[in-house]
Amino acid sequence: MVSTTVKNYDAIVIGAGHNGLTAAAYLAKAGLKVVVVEKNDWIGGAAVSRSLEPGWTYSNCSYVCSLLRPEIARDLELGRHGLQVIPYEGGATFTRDGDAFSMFGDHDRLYREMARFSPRDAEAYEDYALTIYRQCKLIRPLLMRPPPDPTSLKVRDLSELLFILRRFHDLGTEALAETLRFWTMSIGDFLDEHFENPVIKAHLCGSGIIGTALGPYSPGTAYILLHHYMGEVDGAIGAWGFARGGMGAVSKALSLALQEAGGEIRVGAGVEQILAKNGRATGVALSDGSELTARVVLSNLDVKRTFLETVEEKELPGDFVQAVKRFKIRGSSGKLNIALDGLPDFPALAKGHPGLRGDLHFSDSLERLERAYDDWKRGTWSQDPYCDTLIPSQIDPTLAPPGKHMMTVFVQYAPPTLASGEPWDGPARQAFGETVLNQIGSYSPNLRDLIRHVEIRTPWDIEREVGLTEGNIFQGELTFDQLLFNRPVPGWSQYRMPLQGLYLCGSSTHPGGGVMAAPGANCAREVLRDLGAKQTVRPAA
Amino acid sequence: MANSYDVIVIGGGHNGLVAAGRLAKAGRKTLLLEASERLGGMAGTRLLDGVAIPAGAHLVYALHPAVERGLDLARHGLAYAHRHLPTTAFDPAGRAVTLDAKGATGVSPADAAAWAALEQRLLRFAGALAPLREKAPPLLVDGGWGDRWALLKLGLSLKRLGKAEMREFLRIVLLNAADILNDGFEDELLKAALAWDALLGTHLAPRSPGGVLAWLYRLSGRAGGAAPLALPKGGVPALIAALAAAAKAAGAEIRTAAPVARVLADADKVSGVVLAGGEEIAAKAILCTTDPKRTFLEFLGPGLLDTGFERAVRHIRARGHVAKLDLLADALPPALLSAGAQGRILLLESLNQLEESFDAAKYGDPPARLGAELLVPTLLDGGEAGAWQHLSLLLTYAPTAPRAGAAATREAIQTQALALLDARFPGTSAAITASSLQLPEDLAATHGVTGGDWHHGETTIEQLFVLRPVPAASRYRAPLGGLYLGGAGAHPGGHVTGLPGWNAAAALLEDKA
Repeated sequence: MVSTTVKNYDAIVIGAGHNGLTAAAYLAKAGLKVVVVEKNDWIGGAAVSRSLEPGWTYSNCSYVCSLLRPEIARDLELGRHGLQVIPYEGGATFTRDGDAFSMFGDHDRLYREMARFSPRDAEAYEDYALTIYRQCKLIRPLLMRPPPDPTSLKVRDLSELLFILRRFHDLGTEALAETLRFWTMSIGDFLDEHFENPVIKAHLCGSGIIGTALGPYSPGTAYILLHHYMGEVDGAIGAWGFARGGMGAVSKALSLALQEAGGEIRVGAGVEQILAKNGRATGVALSDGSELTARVVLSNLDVKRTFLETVEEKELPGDFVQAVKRFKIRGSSGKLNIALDGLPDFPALAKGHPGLRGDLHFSDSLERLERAYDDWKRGTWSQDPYCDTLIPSQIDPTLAPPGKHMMTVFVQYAPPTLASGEPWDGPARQAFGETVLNQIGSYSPNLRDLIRHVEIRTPWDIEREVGLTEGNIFQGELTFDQLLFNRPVPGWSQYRMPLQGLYLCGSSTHPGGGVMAAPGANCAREVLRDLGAKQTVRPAA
Repeated sequence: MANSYDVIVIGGGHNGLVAAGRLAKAGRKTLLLEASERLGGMAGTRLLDGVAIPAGAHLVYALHPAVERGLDLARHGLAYAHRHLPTTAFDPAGRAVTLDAKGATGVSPADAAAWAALEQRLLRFAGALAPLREKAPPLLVDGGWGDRWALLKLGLSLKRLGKAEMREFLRIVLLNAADILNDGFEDELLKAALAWDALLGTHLAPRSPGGVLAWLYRLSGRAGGAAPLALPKGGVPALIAALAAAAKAAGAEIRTAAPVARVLADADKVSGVVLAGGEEIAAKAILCTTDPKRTFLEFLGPGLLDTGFERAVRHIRARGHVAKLDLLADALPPALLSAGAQGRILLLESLNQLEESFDAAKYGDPPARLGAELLVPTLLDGGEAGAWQHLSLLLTYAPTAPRAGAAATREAIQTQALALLDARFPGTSAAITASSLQLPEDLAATHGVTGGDWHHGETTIEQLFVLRPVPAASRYRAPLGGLYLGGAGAHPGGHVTGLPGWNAAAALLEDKA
């Protein structure tokens, strides 16, 4: 029996990820009648807090916060809606010879620690940090603007293009040369130019590879590092923090902002198809058979899911479909969430060492990271994986019962499918988890004794639950062929899609992935322009 | 000082000869100094078992027509045996794919059509970039009207591609080679053969971003009118002979076995050179075609450079990854004689093979499955058939810094290369009378080229155009008065194009130095 309920909206947003919720909130604030439809029975996409072991809170996928654009947090009053981001400092890379290199927020302590590994590197760090900071300052104003189409002669495109060119031009010869090199080189080469000590290089390298299917020596990875540094916590550029209560707190605050503005959220409402008539999106058909109609439809799904699975191919130009098919979404990471009966020891660092309160790593050279990537290329998970490991319950006590702890491990690399042909949802998943626990366990002898529960998430699991193709956290690789005006498809980078009235608002669009919310806000700006509604997304500064 | 010149050109490789020829033609009293006994560097000759063979390059695929015409090389003896040599790639199963002026054969009709379309497109894109090669790269900021005009022209030539093609250009320009090949073709051997030409001589594997740019870079010679895959009559060394003849005819003086020890400078301006033997030669200007690391760190020394500049020079990356194997043989198997007479031979498997061999080489290990390019110049270069044949092989990816030491690595690579030859052409190794394998580090030692990199600096985007070889010396002018850079380390880079030497000479003349 098919229900024929038809409800009418101004805008339907498909997917209650952070970008979908952000776009919806801006539209609702403009007075539009908005509904967000979400296939899962919960909201948040890859930013969800949940309890799989009673008393413990896991962040399902994303686990730390920095990139969320502060202007969006202010516009949507996310603080008032309960979002609290607690910055963390510290971090450490454990070495195979039993030592550990620690990061400190305190400048002098960090200098002394670096000098312990290499006096030359301690001196070089300032220059390195300044270079990154300069690049961050250059790129940040581009995040909240639509990328210009360089082939277009429209006034808006030309003026946006001029804005970008002028920023580059104003750098002057020397800084421009430095910028062109930085944006195109590999993070490994960049670190080799600044530092000599392998442990320091390995510690700083992580941000250049997280989320991407490239290795430290692949050209273009210095830009990936920048992508992870362009955020801030409380105005501290490049800082990272924990969302109190887990990353679900971001989604929750966004949903409260949306609902306060009058928006509606429907969970358990998967979209079967985006409906179209005469070359225009008219609404969506839900899996329960009901239909919703709207003036515009926004998809928070990645570009492949949107166009290869929910829009009928006949509604789209053939070359567009081809371009979507060749868009590269490469799953490269997995995740472990671990409930612990106590704080594990890491003998290389004394109990209570501030380094333990940050991100812990176990790859002490760039070669180990590169070899981890080589495994991925061969279609298997890294045998010596890169683990971005945090114990956020040390800073946010709401995540675990008193005296207990919660550990989150981002693991790279893991391929979306195994070359051996083995399915992920069998012994392979367990073996992957063992590889990771062995890695951490070799630096923490009592880790295994403290484990109460482990959730192992492979790229396959992430795709199945969250709907991210191949489990890729950025909804598409962040290489130049898929950045700025190339993202997601050249000629379609300004959130409007070839089917009229259909917009893309997820991380497949500029400026890409991470819990940044800029794609959602940028998309909402274009929708409001097209509908002639009140503009609630501030013009970019 | 006893003798004095307007210009001293350091290095008798093809770029040095081109520069000397151009300068002498313009009336400059020019002296060219070459360290070794023979001219030509990596494009010259060397002796194997008493026989002169090409030292490195065995084909020419980008000699710029302006150089060829400007120095009147035809009159000085340059003639081509082949301008577009066919290439046949064999996989281990013996399947063959041929690439020539007519396109790809031995592949599915879909792949043949896809290659015809992609080749046209890449040539169009390369053509848009080609004018950039003929001059110093335009400054992006602080430039004069000439720079702005050049940038505008580049913008217009991209616009002229049309909207869709310009978008495609901007999408693929920094893409890796594997994506464009996997998106377009199904035939693994064809993909590997195309990747071979795109990436040979670089520190890039099929999956490394930037591979397409390296490919466009190589094709831009052809798009600019150069012969696509040429073999001069008498082999590549015949080109060197023609260049030397042209330079001498124009009045340039050439000295071999004259290694430079140091460049002399006097109050921020060069004044001459000191040879290794202690002889001093004065000159108003010096055009150096050695690789930039040697030029600045050996000939000048840190005392004459500021620290930021010196650091940038030290950071130039130059990893060659091609090993050269030369074999002399008396009686080759008939299958090899007939394949070798057709043109260039590639022994390859797949993109994954290339990726995996790069992965081994990047850590300094010899790869398990090398790819090979084989040329039998003696069958093709129009010379007299002798009693012996020369087999010239380029093998990649070879480690630049072998972990196991040079001797063991040489042996591992040579054994593998011979097995590769025997598998396709049984009986080849039995016919060999002499052999010599040069790792990248051997090429570096013989020719003074850092990392054995024939580009004198990798051709990745952060080392091209205004960033080549380093931003502060990108327009042939070093930050020392009267010193010019004219080797492959300068724009537009490596391959036997003659352009760096040609353009550097123009810069020198323009400055009236």
